[in-house]
Amino acid sequence: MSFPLTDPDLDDDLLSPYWNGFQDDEIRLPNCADCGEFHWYPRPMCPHCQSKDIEWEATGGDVTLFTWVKLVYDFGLSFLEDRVPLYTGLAIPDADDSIRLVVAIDIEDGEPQIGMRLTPEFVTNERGDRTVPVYRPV
Amino acid sequence: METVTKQSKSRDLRDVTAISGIGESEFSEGGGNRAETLIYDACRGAIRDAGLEPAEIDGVVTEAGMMPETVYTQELKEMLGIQAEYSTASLLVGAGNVISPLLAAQAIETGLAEHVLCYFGVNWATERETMGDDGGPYSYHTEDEYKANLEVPFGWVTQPLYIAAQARRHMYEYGTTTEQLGEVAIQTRANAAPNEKATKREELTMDDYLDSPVIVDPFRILDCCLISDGAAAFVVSSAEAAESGPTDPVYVKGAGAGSSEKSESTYMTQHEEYTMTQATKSGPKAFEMAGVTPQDIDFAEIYDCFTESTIVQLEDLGFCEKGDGGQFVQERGITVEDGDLPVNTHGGLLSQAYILSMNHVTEAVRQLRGTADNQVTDPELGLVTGWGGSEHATLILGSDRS
Repeated sequence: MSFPLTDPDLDDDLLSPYWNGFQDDEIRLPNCADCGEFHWYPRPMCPHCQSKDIEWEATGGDVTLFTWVKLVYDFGLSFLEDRVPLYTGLAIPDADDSIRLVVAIDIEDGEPQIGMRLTPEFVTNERGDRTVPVYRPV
Repeated sequence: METVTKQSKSRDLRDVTAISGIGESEFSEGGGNRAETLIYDACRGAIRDAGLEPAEIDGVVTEAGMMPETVYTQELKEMLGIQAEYSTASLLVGAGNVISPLLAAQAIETGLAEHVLCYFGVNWATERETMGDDGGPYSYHTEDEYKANLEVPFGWVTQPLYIAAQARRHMYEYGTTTEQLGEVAIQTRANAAPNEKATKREELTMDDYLDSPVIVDPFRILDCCLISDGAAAFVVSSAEAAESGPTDPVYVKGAGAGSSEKSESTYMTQHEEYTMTQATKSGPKAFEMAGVTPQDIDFAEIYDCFTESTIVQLEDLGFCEKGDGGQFVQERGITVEDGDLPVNTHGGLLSQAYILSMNHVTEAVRQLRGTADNQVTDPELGLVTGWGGSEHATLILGSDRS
């Protein structure tokens, strides 16, 4: 499995909890302890009520596919070399339908379809030191 | 008594100024160009075209995201021999070039400047040849912390991918077809054919389009705009000054900008109205200021970063119903030769050059002067759009005062 194509910056407090959740086989999303709303992308304050009390909650993980593409050309980018073609897309988590997550997609037969239900499978990267969710049809 | 609204006040700027001169550098697909020399070429050309001496330029306007990194304003003023005390830049990313005339008009109307030079240029074609992952228009993705952590690792990277995903959704919601995307490419290319400055002029057939390589399904290479080296510039002056100059004045009639509720880093994935652009906001402001409707427009230079983008903006501006953009291009046509609405009369970003709509403004001026290579018959009103992710701008120019 060639995902993740690049390594995240785990020193970033705002963005690393998403990746740390993967190590525990969880999709964690930022939730406001005051108003209870999720938001995405991760922000230092809740964009709904401006509270700074954000907690990352484990969510079910299942998503509905909103749109997808098949990346075929590597654009001369080193991290795409020998890793295309690949499927990637935007998917709406059951946890909150105002959020769209970027999802790496693995489909064995046929193509992704908008509206398809997908679930994350946590796989280990090529180096063996990082876990990443790859979404497959339910 | 009519209520004074923000928009009714903007009508006060209609026809107050005109574009008095235009200039362009050579456009190319690379070759070791420096962006600043291309910009100087375009600026000198515009000042000369306006019949002015450099010392008569007393204002400069550009966009704030890319240009200050490309050439220091102070260095540009020194090289051109201008001492413009008034200088400003917009924060609308790729839409900035199309709002420059409005900023210039405000300066002229308030007496801060008399002749304002607007400029933009890139050498992304040369940069891409030499800089790999770190140069050109793709470096933005790996540098933005959100994209680097939440998108790129999962394969979501490059502008063609973002808009291909939008095209997929647009096909799903409205039945837009691959052939309709192809029609945008083919007809825009047909508009490039007579244009001596177009990078790509050879005819495209539907077979050519369908046989061309898929780069990010549903997009083919021909769905994507060029990567270019080139610059363009124009001078905005008071209408009276432009009328006494050597060229036919092209009046700044209306302009407006629209911004998304989402920031630039999240716009392409989180934007609520996913198959719309902010043309839905910028268009009405420009039409209101100009006192015209889409039906009055004789040609449109649309920010065609991708074929899908032409389709979506035609819908969002009100040239057709939402979802019917593909059908509009396919059945009513956008060629100068026999389209109902000529679009990208110079071949656009797709076939002329990717100068982020600065070249769309200069083409619109030529059309309204009657000096274009692919000339629309006696146009009176032209529309130009600029687009940068979450920001959009619309400009309306005319050959006569209202």
